[in-house]
Amino acid sequence: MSGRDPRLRAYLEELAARLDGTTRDNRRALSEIGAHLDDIAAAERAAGCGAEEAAARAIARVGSVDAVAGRFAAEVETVWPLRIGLRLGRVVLTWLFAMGLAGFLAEPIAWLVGRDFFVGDERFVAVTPARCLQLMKLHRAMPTCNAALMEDHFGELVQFGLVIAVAAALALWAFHAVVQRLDPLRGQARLDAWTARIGAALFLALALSSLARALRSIAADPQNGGGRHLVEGIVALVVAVAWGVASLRRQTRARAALTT
Amino acid sequence: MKPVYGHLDLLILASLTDDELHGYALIERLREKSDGLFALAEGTLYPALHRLEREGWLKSRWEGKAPRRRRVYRVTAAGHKQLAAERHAWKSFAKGVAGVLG
Repeated sequence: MSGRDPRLRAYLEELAARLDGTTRDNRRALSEIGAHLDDIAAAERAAGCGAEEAAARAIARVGSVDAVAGRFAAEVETVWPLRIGLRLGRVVLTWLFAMGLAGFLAEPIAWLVGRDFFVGDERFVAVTPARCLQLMKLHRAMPTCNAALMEDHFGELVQFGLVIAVAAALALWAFHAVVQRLDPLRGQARLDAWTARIGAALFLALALSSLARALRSIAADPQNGGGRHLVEGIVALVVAVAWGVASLRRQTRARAALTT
Repeated sequence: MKPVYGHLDLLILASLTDDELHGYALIERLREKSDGLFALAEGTLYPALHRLEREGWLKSRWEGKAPRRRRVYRVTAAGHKQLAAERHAWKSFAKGVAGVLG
């Protein structure tokens, strides 16, 4: 793989992301098709073509990623539920990490804008006397039941956020190790274009929905807890943009490999 | 030429009867023997080779060392039987078509 033309490498990476067979079958297929591409490119170079032209001709002869992956899907036993599961797993774990991080970020932001920005809606919650007693015991410095409730809720938001973010980060790390073992190219487990595209769309939808909720809530009352949704929306938007850019970059690379 | 896919099994088995070949060499042989008539997206040959191997009609092994490692295929005894059956079916079909076309 190391001496292979970058356009051929990009083609094989794109194909690797589209094959739904077992890891063993995919490795074999990619190894054979990689050797086939190398043979054509070598023959074209021997016939006087430049490296770029030789790679383009090799890809044209082997066929589009769609055609080859489609033929494998039609002819060879596939394990696509596993592949889809892995892709969704990455999206879900990233979502948990992002939401956990959003909760944890409430702590530093609250220093600037106050805790009401995140949990101000608790001011209007009716609390039973028993619960009130419990809350006042837990947060002795708070002058009222609702202030204790807000303090309690804010603590949960930050602490649960931290726990979820750390757990999701560890799970993502473990997931990365598993995907790397399953990676048919035996290379770095990277975000494939499909996962990036689906993830970007889901996170964009989540960001828009959270931001709309935040704006509605903040417009009604800035100290009404809309900050939670605002931070969730911003974090989701950052992930959506990052995955969108990753998806576009991979698409551009794959297109360049097919059109040069 | 799209219709080649309908007869790909026959063409692969026939091309591998005498020699052990890897995919690229097999394509070259198909092109040479058909005077360039059978053009297919060459990457789509491999799913067919894998399927024929699963059927027990081909056997394969790695030859050479990386980066020159190639998977070579040969026809098994069951593959030879299948080829004989497909060849017979093709000849009958071709005879029928020739009869109709005149």
